[in-house]
Amino acid sequence: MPTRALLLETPALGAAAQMALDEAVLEGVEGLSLRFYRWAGPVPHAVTFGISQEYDAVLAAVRERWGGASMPLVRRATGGGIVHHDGDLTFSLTFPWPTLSDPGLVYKDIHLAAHLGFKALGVETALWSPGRTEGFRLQCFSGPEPKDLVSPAGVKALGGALRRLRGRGLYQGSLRPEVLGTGAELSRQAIVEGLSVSWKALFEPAEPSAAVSARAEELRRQRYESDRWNRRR
Amino acid sequence: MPEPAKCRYTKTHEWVYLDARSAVVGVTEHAQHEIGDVVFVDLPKAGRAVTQGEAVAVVESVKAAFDIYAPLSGTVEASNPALAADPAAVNRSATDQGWLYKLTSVDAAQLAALLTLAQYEEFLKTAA
Repeated sequence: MPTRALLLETPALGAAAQMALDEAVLEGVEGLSLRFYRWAGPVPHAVTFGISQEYDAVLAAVRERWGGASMPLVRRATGGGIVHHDGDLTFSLTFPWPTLSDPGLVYKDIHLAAHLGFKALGVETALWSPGRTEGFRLQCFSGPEPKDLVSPAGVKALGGALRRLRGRGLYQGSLRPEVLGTGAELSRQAIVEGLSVSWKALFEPAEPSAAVSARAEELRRQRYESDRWNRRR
Repeated sequence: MPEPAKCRYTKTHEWVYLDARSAVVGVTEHAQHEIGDVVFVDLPKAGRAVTQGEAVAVVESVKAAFDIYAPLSGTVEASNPALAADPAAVNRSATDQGWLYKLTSVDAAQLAALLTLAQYEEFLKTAA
């Protein structure tokens, strides 16, 4: 019997509001939920970076890589590196993670589901398996890391980052459809299909509850738009 | 290094050791093994009042960040200053050099209610 899961429909939002909503969903939604971001504006042009990254290093890397373009820099609740959201398909997944366990296996499970979803739609991908690596990359898409989803040519297509809080997990993922020669809609279908089959989930469209939305608004104002959070180190 | 048998434990995989003046807190060997290679530790500042069960620290390994909970209510006396430069000490020495922070003004009854080593080891068998 498939598990009921929420496919959350949310409005177009900026980066701080997206991060806030993910954390509010992590705190306030039981079971499995999947949410594809809709970015405010024609293209997002925002940068998110990992919870432990140094702001000055992020800022320097962003300026070096993307020049002086003005765009919000928002610290995520998850680990990982810098992600420039400039046409990627960004999505988040919250799920039960009741027992402390190897995050590498959780990461692999999610990306394996995506791999199978793409395969079902006739798109070839693979999980990157170079063996052990040292540390993590400052920029998420500067190259694949273990268990990232890559194209047959080995180009990174999907990377993500995780957070575990009170027995629940949050995955925030960024997918580059153009690497796989697909569009955003087909990629979205692949993610939903893969998770539905691999995690035996029956996704039903839903909107966040009023309580989750209110909590997200609070987190946006108090945390994700604040220098205290974004420049905390 | 505190003797494991003299520590108390939580089901969220923290250990706590009551020394002469404060309660020293860290994550267990099991936790550091599951979390993986630690790349950063975000610790509470001295003077912060914490409540038992509150998420007070974050340990990040490659790709994932994990909340660490206060095993006891109390006031943070100090955090481990060495972890800023050497977060991997949590992996190498979870129950000694990789301690996270120290609490004062803790409640002895709360401490006594935590798991003993034998109870924690039994918990690991059933929770795994």
